[in-house]
Amino acid sequence: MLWHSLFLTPDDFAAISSGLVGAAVVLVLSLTQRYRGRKRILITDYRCGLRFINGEFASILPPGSYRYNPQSEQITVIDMRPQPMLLERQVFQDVVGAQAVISIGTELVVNDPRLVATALRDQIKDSFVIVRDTVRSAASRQVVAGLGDNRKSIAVSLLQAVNAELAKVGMRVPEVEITELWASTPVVQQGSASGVVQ
Amino acid sequence: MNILGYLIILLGGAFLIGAAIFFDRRGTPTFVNLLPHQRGVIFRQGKPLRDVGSGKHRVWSGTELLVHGDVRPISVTFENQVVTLQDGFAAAYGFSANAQVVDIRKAVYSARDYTQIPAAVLLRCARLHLNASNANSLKMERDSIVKRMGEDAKVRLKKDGFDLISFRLGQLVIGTTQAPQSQPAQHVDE
Repeated sequence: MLWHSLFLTPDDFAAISSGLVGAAVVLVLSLTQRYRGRKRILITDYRCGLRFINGEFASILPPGSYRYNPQSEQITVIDMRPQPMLLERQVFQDVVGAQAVISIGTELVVNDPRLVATALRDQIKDSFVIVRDTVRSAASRQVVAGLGDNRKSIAVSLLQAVNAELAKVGMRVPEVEITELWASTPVVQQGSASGVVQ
Repeated sequence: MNILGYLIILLGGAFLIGAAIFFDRRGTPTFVNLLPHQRGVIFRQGKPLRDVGSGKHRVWSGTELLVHGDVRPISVTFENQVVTLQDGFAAAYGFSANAQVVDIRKAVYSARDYTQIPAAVLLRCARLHLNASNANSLKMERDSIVKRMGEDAKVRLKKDGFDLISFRLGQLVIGTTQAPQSQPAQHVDE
């Protein structure tokens, strides 16, 4: 008989079988109980999850599948993909007083998801305002008129200035492309420089 | 009870335990139907697993996610855009274009909303190339400038998983609000 070769009596076999079925039932019930009221969230690799427990920041979740209890835990998902941004025809006066116009194309990227989640209500709109204001002020410190094609040096200056401001809210721009740059020849009148572009 | 009965109970118990662990780890199977103009990427545990086309696809909800997108051509039309040329003239321009997703995975990763990519790229390229020109070159070499514009846009769009199907600069008016050389506004084409 098989149970003789396995050194098991029919009673042993019955006991093991019953125990195994009992364990299975207990496992299923405990899993059901464990996950009752819990939610599951899937974070893809172009997103980032921030786990808050009882309102306190707990951890940054890498890509994967997670269960959490919504009564005590909150998971905020941040999209890490770039957001194209065009800033067109910003009129300003450069450092020598020439009226100038600049347009840039760039992308907004999340640099620090935790800071972004806590510092910005709307990542894109709020960052857009920061970029626009910074470009205007940084461009007005440049010499645009009469230096030939100095786009690269101006783009580097703008990139540094914009990233310095965006770093405060956890965003950044990987590059700045100047798509339009033109300045009138400054006209000096009574000790001051002025010009008109349009 | 004979040995067969015990074996059945044993195997049933093992099966129940295995099934409980399997569904706990994998999730529950669901099916997603993609239409002929849709493409998608299946993510498992957050990482891209494979690209899928139209049809019925099994997705283990909980551990897998099917991110899908529309691959029908995206029309882009802009009119009355203004750019300053290198010689101080201003040009009003407008263009229309069509772009289509050819690589859904690249498109999904390209931006938060990939449908914004064609417009952003085309606006950048058009302004960049027109600003690098002057009134005379636009009049004399308009076709080659438009061609360069389209080629530049095509390369940039390809990087993001798009193909530029068509590009047409339908409006181009050169004029100035400043009159740098006291010339009247010139109408090149509209």
